[in-house]
Amino acid sequence: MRRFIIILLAALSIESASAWSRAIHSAIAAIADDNLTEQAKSEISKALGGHTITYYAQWMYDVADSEGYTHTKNWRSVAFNKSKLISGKKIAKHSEDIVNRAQGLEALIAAVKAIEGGNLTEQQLADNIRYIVTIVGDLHCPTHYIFTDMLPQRKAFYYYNDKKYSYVSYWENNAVRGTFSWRTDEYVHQLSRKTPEQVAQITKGSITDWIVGNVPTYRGIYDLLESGSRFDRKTMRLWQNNIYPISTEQVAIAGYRLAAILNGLFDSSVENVKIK
Amino acid sequence: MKRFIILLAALLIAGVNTECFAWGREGHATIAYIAERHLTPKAKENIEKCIDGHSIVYYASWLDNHRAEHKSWGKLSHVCHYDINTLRAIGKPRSYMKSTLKKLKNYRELPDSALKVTIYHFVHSFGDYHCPGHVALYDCTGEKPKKVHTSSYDIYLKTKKTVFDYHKLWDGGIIQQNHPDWGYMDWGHALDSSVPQEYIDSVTAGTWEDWLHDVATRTHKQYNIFEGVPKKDKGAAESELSVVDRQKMNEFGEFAAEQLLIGGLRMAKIINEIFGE
Repeated sequence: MRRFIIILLAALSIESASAWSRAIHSAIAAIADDNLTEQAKSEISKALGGHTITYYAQWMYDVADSEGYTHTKNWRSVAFNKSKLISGKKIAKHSEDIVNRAQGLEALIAAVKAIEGGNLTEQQLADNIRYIVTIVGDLHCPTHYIFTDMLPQRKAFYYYNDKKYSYVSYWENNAVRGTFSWRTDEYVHQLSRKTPEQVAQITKGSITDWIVGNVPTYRGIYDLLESGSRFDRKTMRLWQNNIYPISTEQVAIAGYRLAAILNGLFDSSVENVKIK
Repeated sequence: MKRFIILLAALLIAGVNTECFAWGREGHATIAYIAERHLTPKAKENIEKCIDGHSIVYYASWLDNHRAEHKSWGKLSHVCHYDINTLRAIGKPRSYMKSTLKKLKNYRELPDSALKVTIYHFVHSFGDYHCPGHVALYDCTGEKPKKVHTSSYDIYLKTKKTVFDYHKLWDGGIIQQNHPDWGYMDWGHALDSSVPQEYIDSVTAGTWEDWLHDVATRTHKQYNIFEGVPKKDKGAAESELSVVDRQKMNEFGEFAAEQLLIGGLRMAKIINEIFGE
């Protein structure tokens, strides 16, 4: 009996411990997959032993406790001093532990550079593709942006039917799924439908530009909840109506940007996305 | 301890903040998806232009999600009313569908925001009106129509060993319980992969009012939903309630699935006629 409870609790905690839920990571990878060029798709498939990037959408989380991969636990977020990116050595030197662990952009850049540089073993190539897939997803989750001036807001919470929930967890698990219960191919059907002009706008600039460009929207999410708010079914629904247009758009944007990075790396006819 | 385990299991299965409305999200999305599969390229392009490039499926449950934001939306009846003798649609729900279709037909004259909301209303309400649980029958022989039958009562759901709201059973309960792992694309594939043109022609023949008549007729007579499952007031003793067992769930499931398909095919016909020009 006790073992059964532990299993249930563990199953519940799997999602809450992850950035975006597994479903959203899969959705982002599937949207990217839908926008890969034939050459990129073929090269990536070869590198991943015949699998798609969707198969490995949350792989970096799955291996985080495995030997040789525990450092990837620090690759899930990015930090800002107000709206200014904290990068390089300043990350490790910062007084806040949550900032020390915000090495997501550094890791993404390192993975892109490693593939650009070539001379990787099969294992290294596969790992770096899988890092990119997971990290790009994470860096389009608003709560994975650590704003040093807004740390108290990360502790915001709300009550739904008198039960207390964390706002950060809401974003990671229910910001999309509180409104849409789509399956992976349904995310593609719904969100992989931008016009070429829209895609050009989404993927314009460098990887760093994208991350910094997300800041106003991601800071803005903390204005959407007054901590301690109490919701019933009706008021919860009204509140969520302000959130799902933002969250679904981030999923789409992440998918297109992931495709842009991978197309640049694996299709010689496509220009690489710049780092800075 | 047992209760704790059940609660945990329920959380795992249902997620935290799930909601349930007519047909449920899956049912509404399925009807819109089947409709989308039958749109002409021109109609699809035109209607999607009106809703910022989204699929009509994206807005299939918009009215449920946003109903509390506007007084008039909140007042809308999601249940269609019928004269029990003629089984023809009556009253405000009929007028609402009529005015919605009229607005859509003149969509070029509507401001963008009004057009969007009209499309959202149509893709949702048209699905609602194909839900057997959303048929309410009225006696119209007196001065004022008097409600005779609705789906608002309790049944004993044997498959779950629990008392269940019969309306909610149709509001997504049947399709979700019969196929808990299916999304709208699974439903679309299952129902709409090899539908003969003769079938499409037969279920889309006539007017939208004929279609509603068909929904009421099939619900009331063919499947005896209201007569076959005796009504009980809410709070009746468990032993008095009508029992819905596995066999009944299978029958209801067949009926619900066909309504999803028919609703989608008819929705496509309307959108093609209006937006296909």
